[in-house]
Amino acid sequence: VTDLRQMLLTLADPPVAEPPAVADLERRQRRRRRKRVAVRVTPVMVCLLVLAGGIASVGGGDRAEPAAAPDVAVTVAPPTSPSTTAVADPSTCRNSYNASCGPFRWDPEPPEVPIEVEVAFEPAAPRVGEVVTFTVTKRRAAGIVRPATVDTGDGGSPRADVGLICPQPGEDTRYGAWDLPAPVPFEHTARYAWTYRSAGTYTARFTFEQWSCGRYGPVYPGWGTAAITVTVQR
Amino acid sequence: VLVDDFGEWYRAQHPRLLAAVVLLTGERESARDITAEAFSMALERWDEVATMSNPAGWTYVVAVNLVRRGWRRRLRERLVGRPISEVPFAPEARLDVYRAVRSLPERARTAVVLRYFGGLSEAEVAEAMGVAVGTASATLATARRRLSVLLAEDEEEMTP
Repeated sequence: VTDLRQMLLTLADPPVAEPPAVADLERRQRRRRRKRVAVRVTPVMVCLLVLAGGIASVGGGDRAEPAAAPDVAVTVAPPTSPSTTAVADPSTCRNSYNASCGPFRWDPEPPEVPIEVEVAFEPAAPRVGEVVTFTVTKRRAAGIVRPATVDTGDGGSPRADVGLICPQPGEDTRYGAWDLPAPVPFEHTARYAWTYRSAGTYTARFTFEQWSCGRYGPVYPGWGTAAITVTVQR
Repeated sequence: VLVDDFGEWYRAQHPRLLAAVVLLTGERESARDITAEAFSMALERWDEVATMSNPAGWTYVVAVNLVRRGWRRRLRERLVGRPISEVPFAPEARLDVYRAVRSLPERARTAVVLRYFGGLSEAEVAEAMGVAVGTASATLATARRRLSVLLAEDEEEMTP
């Protein structure tokens, strides 16, 4: 673990770039404040929110939380006081729509389902400047597979990593522990084109990952990768 | 807390957070912007952040959230498919380490950054990523195994 941390930290030395001046950070801060003031809630909206029972009070726009602040602070939270909310009988809470069963969760937690990846390419002996077509097949016993992270081995990539994709939360009245849905087998073949600009031997790697999206999307997480060596001639 | 304290802390932490964000995005320019924004948020709440047990950890979580938001925005703007044409580190850096971490799936990469750059505990990584502690631990264990295999492969390839 220490070795891994030390290896990772070598990436920060030499620095990738110089830090901007603190004054630049303060300018960003002022810009965010201006944006918050622009979207400050009106008194009518405050009344509606209070009537809806959502909040006890609303401060000025400058007191709003930053949108990208972490969901949790890194400090240890103080113990919470006992809740006075009514709690349903756990035996009746399986696959329930009763709000007193507490927050929704899968039970058991979704296991990881690996993704099998196969890669081939053509032409078999590509030359510099010639288009190399990779045919990538992925198979999985469950769920949807997201686009690939591709490393063509020469510092370029025919496709960028697109990050987490989960459906937007919609109306859902499920509460408490729910059984996992049955997995749906999946197979898909895609082609990726890339042109190498210099001769050499490259390792092209295709990595797929599926996150669990919790209650709103693909349930089963998984990961799979495959690499292939491409020798490009002059 | 004096702002001077922030300045010293900021200058010491900046190279590591920037490197971590580059690992997440694979791009230098967006990483610089995200890193500056995360530090700016820390400055805005410095009275509070400075008293946390791990101010840097808080900033890493902010940066990770900004990266995720940036990725989604980029997807919406249909910029996916734009080639990433350069390795964003200096030639003398450990590019094998960069490539190995970049080959990890996004979830594992995020966990590695939070754990090993941010110094968060596994429980804090789990909270920051919105997953169970067991899931975060398993993700980190798998990432460590994969990194050791990938880096060992690189060493074998380099050995005549």
